[in-house]
Amino acid sequence: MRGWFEAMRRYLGLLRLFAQNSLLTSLEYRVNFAGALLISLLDALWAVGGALLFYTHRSTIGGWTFHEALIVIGMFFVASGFVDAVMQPNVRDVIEAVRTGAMDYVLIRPVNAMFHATLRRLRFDKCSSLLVGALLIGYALLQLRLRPAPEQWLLFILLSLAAIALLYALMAALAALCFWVVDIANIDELVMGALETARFPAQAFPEPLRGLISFVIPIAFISTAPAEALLGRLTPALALYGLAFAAAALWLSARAWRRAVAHYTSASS
Amino acid sequence: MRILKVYPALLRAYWERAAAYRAVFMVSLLNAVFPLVMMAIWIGMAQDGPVAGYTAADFAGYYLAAVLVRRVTGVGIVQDVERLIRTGELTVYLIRPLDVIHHFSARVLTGRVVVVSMLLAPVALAALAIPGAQFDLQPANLLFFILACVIGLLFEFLAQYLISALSFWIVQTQGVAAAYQFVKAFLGGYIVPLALFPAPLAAALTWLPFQCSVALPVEILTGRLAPEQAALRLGISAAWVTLIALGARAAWRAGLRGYSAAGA
Repeated sequence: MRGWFEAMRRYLGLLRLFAQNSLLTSLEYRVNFAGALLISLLDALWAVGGALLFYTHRSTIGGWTFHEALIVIGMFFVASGFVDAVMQPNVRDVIEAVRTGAMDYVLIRPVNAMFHATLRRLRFDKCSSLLVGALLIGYALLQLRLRPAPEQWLLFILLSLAAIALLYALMAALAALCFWVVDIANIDELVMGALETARFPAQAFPEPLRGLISFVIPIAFISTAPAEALLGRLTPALALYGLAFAAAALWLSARAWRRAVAHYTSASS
Repeated sequence: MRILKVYPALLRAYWERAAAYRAVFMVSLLNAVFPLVMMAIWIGMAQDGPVAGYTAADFAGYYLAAVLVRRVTGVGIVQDVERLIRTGELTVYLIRPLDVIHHFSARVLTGRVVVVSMLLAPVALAALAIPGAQFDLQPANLLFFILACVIGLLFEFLAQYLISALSFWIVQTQGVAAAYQFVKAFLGGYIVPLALFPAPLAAALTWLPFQCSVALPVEILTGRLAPEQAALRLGISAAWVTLIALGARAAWRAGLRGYSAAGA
């Protein structure tokens, strides 16, 4: 137990170091942040504009009113902030490192290779989406005159963490994949495309797509489920399903990563 | 007409290049996901009755056509022109006897053939698989459609050429291009059919240049426009093309006057 606690402390310390390091790099390019924020805002304008158009024709869509759907859109921006700030740069680094053989230097370090390879970099400028997402959620709650109960907030935070864990598992799996297929640019694009379906509530999609993104490839747990938790309409069974799915995905991705590293034969040898 | 003699050779050269980079075009097809997400939601809504006159099959037909037409008329040359101007490589083209615009037009035209031939089969299959006729394939309508595509392609090409001329004066041309793409996708019928905007806005949008490249060809192909409506909007598009051609020419002339290459 004590050893486990020590390891946890060590990894959290490392995570802080990675973040500090990335922050210093980001501060070198301060103007980028303004640019990224502008793009996030434009993107939000687009997403909200699109949603508004839907709602000029119907008052509810899949049981969601406009302001309720805004929470989902906000969650999508939070998730895509994580994707842009953590997923994209690290996956790109892994691809590059496997191709050139620089992965050797990661593997010989006395830390978990998956931890190091997938969380090493953090693009602070891309966190602007996170900010925009939080603003959207806040605005929607104000408009709905809703004050979620503490347990709803708790469930919301838990499910948001599960969403991040799902995305993290996806990133680790993608990174592991590039040990076998060197160029995963196409697969990467496809996965990012599929994540676009998280922009709107899962119930707004027609069957069979709705079932597919709710249960089979649970993209719904990235944005719809946390929003439902905040609105207090998520059933306990679904919440458990989401949390279990995230845990299983994490475990699977860790296994995939171990297999990938075992398969790795450096570029130069 | 020396240019008519030069063009076949130019097209052949760029054709070989386009054929060599087939895989790159594949990737560009994937960014068609966002309109397809919009399509799925409209189809979901249309299950309890048509939305502003669009049934589920209409939506499927519209977005299929939009994805296809976007590949026919969409142009992406700003990045390359901007690089030529910024690095001074443009000089190499300027001392050649042929205006630099022809190099880009040849490249765009040959790229079209690769993309469209790759996309035609999947779109045709999807159109056949979805119940209900979505496309109006009568010869007269097809003629209108082809004309609209040609005008749309011309518009896109000249608009991009105009935007890339900004590189003579500013550094962030690609940002301007991205903002343009952004606005155009939303107001030009790629993300949402114009008819689904509130009526006054929808009417205004048919007069704006954004309708040229996607909305108009798609609305013609899906049989939503009466011949006189189609003719009117083709006229609007042609007027915009003329205007933007003049603008692009003026901008390039002014830009080249002040241009001095790095290292020259």
